Amino acid sequence: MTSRRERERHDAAFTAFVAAHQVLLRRIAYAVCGDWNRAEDVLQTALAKLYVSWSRVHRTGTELAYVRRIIVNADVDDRRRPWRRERPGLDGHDPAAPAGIGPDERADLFAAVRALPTLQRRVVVLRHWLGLSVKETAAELRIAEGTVKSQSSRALATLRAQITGNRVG
Amino acid sequence: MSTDVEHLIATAFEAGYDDEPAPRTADGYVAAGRRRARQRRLRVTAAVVGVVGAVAVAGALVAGGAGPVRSTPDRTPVAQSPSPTAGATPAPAPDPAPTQRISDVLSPGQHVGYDGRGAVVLRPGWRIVREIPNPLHRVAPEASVGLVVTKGTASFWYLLDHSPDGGSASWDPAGKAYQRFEQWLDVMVDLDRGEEPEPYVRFAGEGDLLEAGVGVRILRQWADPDVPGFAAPGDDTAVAKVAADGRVYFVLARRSPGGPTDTLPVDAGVLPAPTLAAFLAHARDRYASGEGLR
Repeated sequence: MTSRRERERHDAAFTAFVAAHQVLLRRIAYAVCGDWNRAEDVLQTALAKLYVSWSRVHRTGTELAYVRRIIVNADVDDRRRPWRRERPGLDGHDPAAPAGIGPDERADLFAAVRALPTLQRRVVVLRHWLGLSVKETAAELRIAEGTVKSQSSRALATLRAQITGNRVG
Repeated sequence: MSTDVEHLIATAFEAGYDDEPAPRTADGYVAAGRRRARQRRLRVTAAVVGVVGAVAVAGALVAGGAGPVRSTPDRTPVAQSPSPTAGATPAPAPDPAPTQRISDVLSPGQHVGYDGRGAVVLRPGWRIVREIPNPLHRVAPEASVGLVVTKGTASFWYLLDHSPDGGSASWDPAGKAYQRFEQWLDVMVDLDRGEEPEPYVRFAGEGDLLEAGVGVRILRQWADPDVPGFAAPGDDTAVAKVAADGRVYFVLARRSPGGPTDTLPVDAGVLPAPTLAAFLAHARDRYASGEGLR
């Protein structure tokens, strides 16, 4: 049994982690699953698991990687498991500030990423946004390294064609 | 080169989405974590908690011009443990819900679910042939129900969960990995509580030798099964044929370096034959379709 003081310390550290990383983590969840409600569901599940495992994971300093892995695998697993839908209440929406890329171009790119096949989308997120290596991406998605390379190549070719087409059009 | 596109991807994701929800306070996540921790502790005692809140199938709901069956949460206490009831009988709806489109209530591919008021909405042409009241032991106004729905030769198993501020639906084609609805529902209830089902096997130590879980007997095991997509290079993998609870299962097991054993059981009764070859064919087919075994 943990003491009240231990629990307060536990909760304070967990709260600080959530405050620092929830925006990034929700974006990852959304990028992988393409729906804000589902992203919130996945994020909440991942953070609840982290909360339960916090003491062990916090000691090793791998909290972010732990949650990211749960998010990616939770979504993968949800697609393997019976289809699951949750309806959590969400707060209002807050437009993000553009940075270095025009809003229209960004919207086109997101739409093109969303239209990618699921595996290609996950590879793009892990490899080209989060910067994981081919080996790390393969391990995260439980696929062969060659599959990561081929899926990445196809995805980038599709995105390049979409973006170029939009610019020309 | 793809540097241009890669740079755009990284920049765009870092900038975020225009319709991004505002950050939530951490309190909600702390509460969810506490619930999960509490659920783990309470799992053993949950079975003896009284069940309150049944779902009584009620009249038709006007939904996008169609007339699906619906049911509403009922505060009347029911049985102490879930009991199957065949052929849910429609009853008058005491509090009709406003007109609602099915597409607002059910997601694509979903056949039955709760609407926002806790009424069970059924897609036209589908019917409920079996109902297990309140497997999640919800108390009104919350509700839960296990359902078997059919249309022609198609049949699906459902676990529905309702609360005033949200809900969920889990479903599978009938007989995908379990022969009996009760087995499937037990696993879904465990998952809903945040509990992974007690594993049938786990890796004994270094290497790919499996040992049996509590109450399980390994009949035979094979190392490194050939199921593309099941595990990453370098993972330990094995398959075991086991006997548990009077039934025979095949269990795929995998373990990343330094990680825990992850297992995927399939009831031998759903296979054309209770053989390794039949099981591997089943597993390969599921992974090739992208569906997997869960």
